[in-house]
Amino acid sequence: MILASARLLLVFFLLLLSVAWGSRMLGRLGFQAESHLEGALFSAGVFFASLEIALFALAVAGWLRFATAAILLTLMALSAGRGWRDLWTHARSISANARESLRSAFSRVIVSLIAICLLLEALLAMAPLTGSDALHYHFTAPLLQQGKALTPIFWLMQSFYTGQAHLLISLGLSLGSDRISLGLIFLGGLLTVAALFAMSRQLMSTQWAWITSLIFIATPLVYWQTSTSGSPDMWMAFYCAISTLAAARAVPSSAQAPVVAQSSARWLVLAGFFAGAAAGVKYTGWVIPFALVVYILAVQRSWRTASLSGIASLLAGIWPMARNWVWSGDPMFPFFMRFLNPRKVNSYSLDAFLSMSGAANVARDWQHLLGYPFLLVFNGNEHGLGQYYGPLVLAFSPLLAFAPWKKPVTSVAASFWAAVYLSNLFSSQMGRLLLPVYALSLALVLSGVAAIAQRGWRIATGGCTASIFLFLVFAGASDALYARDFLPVVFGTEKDQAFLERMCPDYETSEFINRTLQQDVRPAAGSNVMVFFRHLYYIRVPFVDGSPEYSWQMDPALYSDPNKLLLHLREMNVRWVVKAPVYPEALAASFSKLEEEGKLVPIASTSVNNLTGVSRIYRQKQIIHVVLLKVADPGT
Amino acid sequence: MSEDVDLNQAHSNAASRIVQILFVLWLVFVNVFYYLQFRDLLLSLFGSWVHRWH
Repeated sequence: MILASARLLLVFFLLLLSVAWGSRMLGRLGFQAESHLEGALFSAGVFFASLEIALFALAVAGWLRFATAAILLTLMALSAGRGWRDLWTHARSISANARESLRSAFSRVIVSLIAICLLLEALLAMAPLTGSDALHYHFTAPLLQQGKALTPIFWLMQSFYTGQAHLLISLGLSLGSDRISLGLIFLGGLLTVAALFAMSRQLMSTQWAWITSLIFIATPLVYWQTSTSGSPDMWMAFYCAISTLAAARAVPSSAQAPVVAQSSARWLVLAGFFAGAAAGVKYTGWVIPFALVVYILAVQRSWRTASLSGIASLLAGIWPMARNWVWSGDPMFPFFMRFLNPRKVNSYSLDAFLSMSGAANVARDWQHLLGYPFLLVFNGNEHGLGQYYGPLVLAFSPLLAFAPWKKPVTSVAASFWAAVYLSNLFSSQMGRLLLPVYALSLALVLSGVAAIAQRGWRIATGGCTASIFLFLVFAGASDALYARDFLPVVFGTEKDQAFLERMCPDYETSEFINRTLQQDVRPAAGSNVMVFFRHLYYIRVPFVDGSPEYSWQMDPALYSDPNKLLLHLREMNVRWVVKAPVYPEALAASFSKLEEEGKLVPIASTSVNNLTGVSRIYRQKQIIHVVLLKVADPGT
Repeated sequence: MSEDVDLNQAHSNAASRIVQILFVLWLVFVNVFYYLQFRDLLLSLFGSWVHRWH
């Protein structure tokens, strides 16, 4: 618990540093935010997006270690200069405004509930990493690249997915703990709530803005993404929200027109920088800067501003795509390999990858396209966990007609929401990928609810209030039940080891490999163990993934001959293979043949009780037999 | 004249009420179908309790 508090304090310090440094930089560039909260959010956005660029440069050179990370942060703290005074001003003003808005007992209750949710999420983020995708690549790729010059990991295709926000995971690992990385992901969630509140305040009363913030932070998908998932997607939501706020600042209301018009281009470039930072997190995010450029062309009718905004986006977010292009010839590896580098295509892996991303299974008939909003909410398990957003956006969507459409923030938010929704609809139909615009959609539909409440539509308002109450009870109970599994390890009443054995898929298999190879076999330098399971993070000996579904290097078309497979294993310095409990289907015959011929020899085995099924929350376990086999030396 | 205004007002109120009632029915539809999908999860978590009650 003491360690958890220390890590959260470090994350809090990074928040303070971000506001101070960002404030100084924005001040130098002549930006003047309308409110202190917005100023603090823009500052944090500038800091973290800039920090990610600096970390990318360090990672490319292989210099991202504790010492360089500490030096970088110290330099930023020193260069913040007057920004520390701005931080104090922002903090005083924000706390005064908060006190002012908490006069009613109702607001105090809502804000207390928000605080409880955030506290719970911060605590859960301090539990050992157990998120499935995080164990597969969000944390595994940064760990494998830690302290080394960036090199492609073709046997872990999802490592090409890692974007700018993954560098915050790398930063946490460099500073000494994956819990700091998780804390930084929590910080992304915290900043998104603050940005949502700032946006909502422009669209509705303070009380409704607090309610909107509570709905957002209690939403199971947000709760999971912010706390235990180990996925940095919340940063995308934050950058998208502040891009909306910055772009909205650029559109002059008639009274301010002469003053604001002068600086509108500047705000749109800043919005472009934030949109690019969002795009840098994930390929799918590039629709955000694209939507912004279209919005600028439609509203401002300025090619110059649109171009500058686009350039700012590229500056903030192009780096992972440039890296992928250098490594593979495809900036969005492996999606365009068939067109950009057809000679290097592994068709089996590519098809498996497209299938996992949802792109291969998308139904594009008009009934499905029209039904998607309903399927997303009512049958979320089949549509990328859309059910964990809750029903409110769909339920309140007819009230969009009452949203304050004349306000710039409404039209910018709606543009981003529509662009991300449509790109999702026609690409993957994975609800989870709508997270970057979930805050915007909530703000818009809740502004409609606030509007009908103000009109005195009692029946409709009553229905909305009941729906919100029902969802908050459901979400609160779900969140509390979910937390129950994580809190004992955070409070120290359960050991990390016991927690991981209980909650972490493939952990016992990883421990078996570590134990056997570290103590009994002692891996020679450069020799690897090949594994076929998904959750790789806790393997602490050199390894490669051999599943053709995840590894570009394991093409079943090339290695259906056992002798060719054996040669390939030796080329990859694979000295051991782990069967847990079976080989991948596409290569099973070749591996089994090698076993029969005595070229793969079992040297150790065990049985482990492994988590199985689609989600940990169902607590399904299965005993599996794990065998460690040694690859025969050449000539035997 | 004032009778016309009253009548218009009454029509407007009735229309507003009908729209609101339709909207509330829509809310009921969305909520019911949303929470229905969690039957299996709730049963997996609390199924043993349900069994004990019976």
